[in-house]
Amino acid sequence: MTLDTSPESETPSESSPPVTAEVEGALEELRQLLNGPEREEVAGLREEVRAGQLNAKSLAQVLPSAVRLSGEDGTQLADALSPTVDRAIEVSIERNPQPMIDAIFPIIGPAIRKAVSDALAKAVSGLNETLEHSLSIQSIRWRLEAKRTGKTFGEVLLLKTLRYRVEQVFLIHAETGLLLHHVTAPDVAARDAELVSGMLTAVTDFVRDSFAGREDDKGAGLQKLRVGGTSVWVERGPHAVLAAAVRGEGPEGLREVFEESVESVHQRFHQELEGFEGDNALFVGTDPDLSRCLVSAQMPRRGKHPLMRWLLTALLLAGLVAGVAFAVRSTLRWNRFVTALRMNPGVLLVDYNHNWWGQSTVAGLYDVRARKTPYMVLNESEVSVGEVLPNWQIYEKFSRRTDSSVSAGEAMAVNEGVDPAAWLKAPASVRFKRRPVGVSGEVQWAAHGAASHAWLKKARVQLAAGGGANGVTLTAASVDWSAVTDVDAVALEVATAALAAVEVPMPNGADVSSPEAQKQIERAADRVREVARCAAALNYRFTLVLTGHTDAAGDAQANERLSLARAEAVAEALKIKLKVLGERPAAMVKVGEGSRRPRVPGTALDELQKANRRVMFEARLESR
Amino acid sequence: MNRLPRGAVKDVVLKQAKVCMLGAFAVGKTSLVSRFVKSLFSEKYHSTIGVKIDKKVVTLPGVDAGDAPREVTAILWDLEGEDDLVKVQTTYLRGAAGYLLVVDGTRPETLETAVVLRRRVEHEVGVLPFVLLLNKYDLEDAWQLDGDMLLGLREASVATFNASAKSGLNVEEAFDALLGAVMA
Repeated sequence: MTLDTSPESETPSESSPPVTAEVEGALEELRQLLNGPEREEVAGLREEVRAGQLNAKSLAQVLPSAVRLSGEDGTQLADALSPTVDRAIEVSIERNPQPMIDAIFPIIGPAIRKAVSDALAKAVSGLNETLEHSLSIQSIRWRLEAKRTGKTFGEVLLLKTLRYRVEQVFLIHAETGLLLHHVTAPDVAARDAELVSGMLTAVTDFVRDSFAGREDDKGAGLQKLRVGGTSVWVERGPHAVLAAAVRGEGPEGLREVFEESVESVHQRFHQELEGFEGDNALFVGTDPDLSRCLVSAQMPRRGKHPLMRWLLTALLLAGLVAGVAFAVRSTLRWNRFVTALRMNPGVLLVDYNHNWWGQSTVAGLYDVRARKTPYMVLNESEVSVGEVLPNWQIYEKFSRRTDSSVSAGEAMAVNEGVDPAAWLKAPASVRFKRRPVGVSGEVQWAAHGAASHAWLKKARVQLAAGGGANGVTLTAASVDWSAVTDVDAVALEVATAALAAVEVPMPNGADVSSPEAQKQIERAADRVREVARCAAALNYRFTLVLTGHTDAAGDAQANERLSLARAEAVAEALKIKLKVLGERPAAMVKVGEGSRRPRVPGTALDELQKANRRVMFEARLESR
Repeated sequence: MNRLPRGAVKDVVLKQAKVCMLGAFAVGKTSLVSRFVKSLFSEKYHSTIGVKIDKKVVTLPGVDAGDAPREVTAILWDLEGEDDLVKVQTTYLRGAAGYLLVVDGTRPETLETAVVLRRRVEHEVGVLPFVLLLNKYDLEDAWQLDGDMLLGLREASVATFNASAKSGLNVEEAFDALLGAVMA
């Protein structure tokens, strides 16, 4: 502290020599003389620094110019201040946000209003389109197309709902209303574009001045003019306005196309627009931007599709009618063929299956001596031979003795004048042939052919009683019946076999409602009726045994219960069918076999295992 | 001029300019130009929106001797005449490069209106070149124009013409003078 001039420090110590004190005094005087005023000033300054006055007062004087200087030099001050300013704003908002809100409101208010009103305007005008298209099949197709092509739904909508044409596009200098550039769609007769441009500007100005009340509406101006079927869409930028004449209903998406064009023009021709002095040749280069707006398209052509659809429908209908007609005709022909077979003597139809689209099958027995073989019946019928896969067996008993050697004996019998056939009132189907005289010496007759059980029984009884004609006595031993077929017995045999061949498939539990199950039960009913008829003729007691089966899966006991339930369900259904046929329900026994008698081994594939879930029939016959 | 239109004739410079036609009610503005300009719109626009747009193509000589002639398309905004009830809509003046100020020589009050209109133009869009047209020159005997007021306007104007809508006197010349000043 060289400037320490306080009186305390001046006082020399007691030990100091007087000479030194003298010198000191002289020096002090000298100092006082040399820089007295400065020392006082310095002392004053020190006081100020101590009191902190310098900072506030003098800083307030120099700060503005200091800040200005710093601002001229660069951004250092701003950089240095910004964290503090940020923090200050934060603190201020935390304490009381209202002043900040008041300050920002005038800026944010119009901005938000404009954004909201734009969004609303777009939403409202888009609403009609949305309603129109959101629920139709077409819209779903378009949405799919949008997904497929990677476009937005709006873009697809724009492409598809083209019911308009942008006929002219004007690029107009915003301030002067002078035409910068003009494009027209092909074949559009444009009136003087320069005049239209001017008038459009005048009209826009007029509307804005007359109706736009609010200050913030002034920049917006007219957006759309409509005259009958044509509308003028106005899209404005800072320096240029794009006006498009659109014939028809332009979709709102067009607005975006125009917006983009205006933006592009401003970007590319910024300088030319700012310095515009009436030279529109500079704007020929905007041609692509404007031409892009000349979107034109027609309504989706609806004429072609309905025609195609009608044709297709008509074809389908014709096909359906033809199919039904074919099926009906085929069924009728088949039924006539089957009836002919049934009515034909000497033919026993056992099984048949009519198949529309494949080969039908017939199976049965026939007598070789029948007047018409089943093949002849087929040839005479309307059913074509190729359609039928026949399985005819010659019935053995019918044909056992057909060798010609017998005919000699036959002739003899006639000659003898004894006619057992007449005596026994034999049907035409039974012939008697004479045999050489046996050991007993009695006349032997061999009967052959076929007869009903009832007649055979009666004939036997008659022979047992004995009797004759023309002096010839016939006894039970006179006729060998071994070659005579009991028609009813054969029929029974066939019918029981046919019945045993029926299987009711039951893939799900004891459910008999499936069409296939119903068909099989109906079949079973037919055959049960046949068996019952034959059994009655033969005087047999007929009991129908229904056996239910399951596949190997699951618990054995449960399977047994299920199989019985299946048999019972089928029995119930069968009773109803028989009733419908006017048949007295047969006696029935229901058996549950479980999985003991599988049709397909339990090791087979699951799919094949299904065949094991079934109900089968058996005719139990006992003589009374 | 790096983007010349393909069809443009290179030795003619094409330019456009917006010029306005101003004047009091019934000074004959529309009659003045109707014979010389291309009109697309009917008169009734005047009474509906207060302006009618016409077009006039003027060929000016080149700036220097030997320069190509300049063809200027004047887009003429014929503003509705001003009177006590109807004020000229100043929005329509925006972007104008110059104007024609029309006075009816037989009605001194139209000269006053012209002075007011000129002041308004200068207030709204700044000082623009204008041509003063003293109409109804065919009725010169009936002229009653205030000398001082006329002098002031005459001096401020690019040019002043005595014109007649009836005979077409000086109408072309007025346009040429105005556009010459605008394009200078």
